[in-house]
Amino acid sequence: MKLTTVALVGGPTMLVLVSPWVAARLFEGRAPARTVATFHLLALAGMAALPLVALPCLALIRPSDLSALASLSGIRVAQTAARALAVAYLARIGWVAVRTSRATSRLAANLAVAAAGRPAAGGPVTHLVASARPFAYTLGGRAGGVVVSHGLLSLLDRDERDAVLAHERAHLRLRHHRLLWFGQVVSAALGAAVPAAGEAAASLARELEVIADQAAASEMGERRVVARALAKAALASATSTAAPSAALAFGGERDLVYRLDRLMEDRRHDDRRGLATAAIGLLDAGLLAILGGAVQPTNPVGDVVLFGLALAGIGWLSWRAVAPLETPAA
Amino acid sequence: MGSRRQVAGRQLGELEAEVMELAWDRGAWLGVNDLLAALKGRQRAYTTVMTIVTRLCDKGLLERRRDGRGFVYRPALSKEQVAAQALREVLADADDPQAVLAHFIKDLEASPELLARLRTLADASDADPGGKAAQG
Repeated sequence: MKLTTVALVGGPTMLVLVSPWVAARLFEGRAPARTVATFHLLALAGMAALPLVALPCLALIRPSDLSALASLSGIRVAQTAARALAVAYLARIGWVAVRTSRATSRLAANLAVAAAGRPAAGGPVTHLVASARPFAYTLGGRAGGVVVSHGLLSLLDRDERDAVLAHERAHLRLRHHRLLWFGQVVSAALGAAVPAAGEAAASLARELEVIADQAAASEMGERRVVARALAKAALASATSTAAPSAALAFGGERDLVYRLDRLMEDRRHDDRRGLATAAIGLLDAGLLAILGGAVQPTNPVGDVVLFGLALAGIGWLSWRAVAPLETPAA
Repeated sequence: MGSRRQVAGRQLGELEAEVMELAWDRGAWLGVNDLLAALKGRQRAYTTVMTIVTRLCDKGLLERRRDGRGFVYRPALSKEQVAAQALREVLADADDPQAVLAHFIKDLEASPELLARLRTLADASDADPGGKAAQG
């Protein structure tokens, strides 16, 4: 393998692997939420593809002082091993994906029995769960819908309830569950081997919450009511920790503060849009290099077609992320 | 097989669901012949119903005991128990990050500063004075 190839694949790979921290340092909270979310999404796609290219590439890099014959057979062995690992990795992704989907459908089935689901006016099914614990969430998929507990509703006044429902409906309408599912599958499949995956999945989830908060605020015509609902729900589920040990990271606190800040700040979160756009461009280049590297070792026609499709997908996503928002319909 | 229905959090075939409804209705021990006689619609074969009840036993929805030369069946759980069980599972699953991808709010460990900020936000426009200081 030539040095240029190593640099071409290795450089962008490094960017993919540090992407969550790059975003946090440079433009999270200072670029449009949709742009930031797409950045994390693309980075996750890069990480997902990484093992497929890293393995063959590692197999191809060999010490040049080996004799031609030894290195040739060495390469064969390494390539076979790399292929086996790639297959194992793909199988793992499939297994994680199935497990996650199953957990969701089991929950949907139980909800259908336990909770009185009924279609809200012109919206998705809303399941009301008889529990004092305050919670609300969105369930994706065919049997999906919005799930709210009595406990949460009893804390809120009418407007705040509407705000929560608007938030959850925005998740559904914008198909956030698919993106979250993707993030979770990638981070679970890569696990501790790629710490950036978990971080990127968490950052993506946080950014999608911001998007849903903003959608709810614009639907309600007021952001204070969304903030109030958030605050009340948070207060109810907060386990107030007495010990103020300075270094302790409070669970969930960072995400919530981020959401509140995004929600309440005045519109000035476009000032790093250019930087975020550039970062997306770099990430695209990285993704292309990674995908190209994954195609390169085998390269039959099918791979090239796949590569083209991936290219189109990446281009579309990136364009959507950096294009100005159209005004939402109704 | 025709459409499928949700019973006890499981996808059941139409005939399976019908047998369950029947068993819950009667509440007593029923033989396959009782079920055959009570099932509405077209006449079913004995073996068909036999297969169905065996499957429902496997799924833990029916229980059976020996009665003479055959078996008799009744629901293993009441409808309410089934609903309660489903609710328990829903509540357990609400904490399962695999099942639930996006929560409105996650369980929170908040610093005193954040708690103070949350209280301010929560009280911000509750117009009625003296009310609502519910959270501790």
